[in-house]
Amino acid sequence: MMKCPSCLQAIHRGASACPHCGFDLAGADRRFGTEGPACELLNDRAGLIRSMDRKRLTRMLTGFLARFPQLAFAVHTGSGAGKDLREFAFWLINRGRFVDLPDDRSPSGIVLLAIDADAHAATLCWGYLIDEHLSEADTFQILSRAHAYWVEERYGEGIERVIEQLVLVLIRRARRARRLERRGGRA
Amino acid sequence: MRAFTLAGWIAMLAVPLVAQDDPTVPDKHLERYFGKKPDTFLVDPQGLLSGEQRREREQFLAYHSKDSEIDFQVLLFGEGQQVPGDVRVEELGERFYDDGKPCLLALYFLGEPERVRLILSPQIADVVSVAELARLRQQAVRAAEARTVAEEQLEDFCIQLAIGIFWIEREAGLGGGPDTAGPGEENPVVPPESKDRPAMAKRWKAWAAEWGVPAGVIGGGVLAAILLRWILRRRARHRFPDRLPTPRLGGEHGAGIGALIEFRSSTRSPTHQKGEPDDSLGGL
Repeated sequence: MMKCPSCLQAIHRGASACPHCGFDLAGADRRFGTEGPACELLNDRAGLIRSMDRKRLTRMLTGFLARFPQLAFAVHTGSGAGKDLREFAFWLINRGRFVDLPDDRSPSGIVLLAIDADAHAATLCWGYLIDEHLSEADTFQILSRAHAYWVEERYGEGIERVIEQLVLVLIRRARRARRLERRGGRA
Repeated sequence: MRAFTLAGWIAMLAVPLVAQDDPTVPDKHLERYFGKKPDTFLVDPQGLLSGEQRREREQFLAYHSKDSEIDFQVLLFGEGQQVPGDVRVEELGERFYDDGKPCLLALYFLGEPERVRLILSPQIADVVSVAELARLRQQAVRAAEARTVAEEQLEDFCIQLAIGIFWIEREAGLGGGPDTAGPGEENPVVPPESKDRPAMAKRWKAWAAEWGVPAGVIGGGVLAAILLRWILRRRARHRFPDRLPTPRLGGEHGAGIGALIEFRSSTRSPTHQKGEPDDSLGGL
C-alpha cells in the first residue's frame, strides 16, 4: 500500500495526485522550490556529523554502492522541514541533483535518509527501483536502531546503524525478489 | 544304597586327613615374610625357586635397585597359598618402608600371577594413583600370563614391573639425573599436584600424536570454510528486478515513504516517538 507523503492516507500506486489532500510534486515544488539543490550523497547541511564519523560513513556509503549495483544511499541533514519532513524527502529525491551519484546509478535507486535537527526527527524515502521491496515497517525497524544514538546527538553512529540495518533488510529483500522472479519465470 | 552311605561316611572322614597341607602360609615362615623389612630383594623362605633361579631373580632385582630410585622387592608364595588373616598386608608399606628409599613390594604367588598384590611405600603412595597402579599391575600380569612355566612367569612379571616402575619414577619426578637424590639418600616427597601436570601433558601428547593431524585438518577445513563463506558474502552483489512502476504524485524517481521517528526523549521508546513531529518553524 502506498501512502501520501503529506496526509499519510493510502493512495493508488499510479495516482498522479493524492485523492485526499491533492498533494503532488508540483505542490512540493511550491513549498520547497522548483530548482532542486545540488548535493552530495552525504549532505550534512545541519553540521551534525563529526569529521571522524564522516570518514567512516563515506566508506560505508562506498561499500553500499559496491554491494548493491543498482542502489545508492544518501543522507541529508537540515532543519526547518518540521512535520513536512516526509514531503521534503519526497521532493529531494525527485528534485535533488546528487553530484557524486555514480554514472551507472539511477536516482530511482536512491534510499534517502532525511534528518531534521530542529524537529529531532528522521525519515526514510526511496526510489521506485525498490518500491515493492521496502515497507514502512521495515523503515521503522531500521530507524529504531539509530534512535538511542540520535537521542544522545551521536548522529554519525546512528546513521551507521541505519546503514547496517538497511543492508541486512535489502539483502533479504533482494534474495526474496530473485526467488519470486525465478518462480514467476518457471510458471 | 547301604554301600553308598558307608562310602560317603568314609569320604567325609577322610577329607581332613587328606587335606593336611593347609593353604595358609606356614607359621614358621611368617616372621621371615612379614616380621621386618626384607633384607633381600627376593624373599623365598619356602625355597619355592631353585638356587639358580633365585639367584637370577635376586640379581635382576638388585640390578633394578641400583638403576632406579624405587626399589622393587618380591615376597614369593606358593601356588594356592593364603596369607594368614591376621597379617594386614595393606600396612606392610608403612611398616617396612616408613623411611629410606621408596619401594614397591609385590606379594607374588608362584604360578598364579593374577593373584599378585602390590604395595607402595608411603613416599610414593601419594603420587601414584590407584588407577595407575592397577594399570601397572595389569600389564605385568598380562606379561606373566603369556608364559606357561611358573618360574618364567615370575621372570617376565619382574621385567614388566621394573619397566612400569621406570614410568612411575618419571611421573613422580624421581627420574635419575645428576641433580636428583642418589640411592640411599632421603628422597623428596613430591606433592600430588605436581604429578597431575606431567600426567596431563602425557595424555595430551598421546592424544595429539594419535589425533593431532586429523583434528588439525578438520579444524583447518572448518575455519577455511567459514572464512570462504564470509568472503563470498562480503563480495556478494545484490540486485533487484529492473521493474519500475508507474510514477505517482508526479515524482520522476521515487515516492516511497517510510516511517518517521522522533528522538527528543531518551526515556520514551522509538515506538512512542513514531509519528508526526512538532512543526519547529511553523511549516515554513
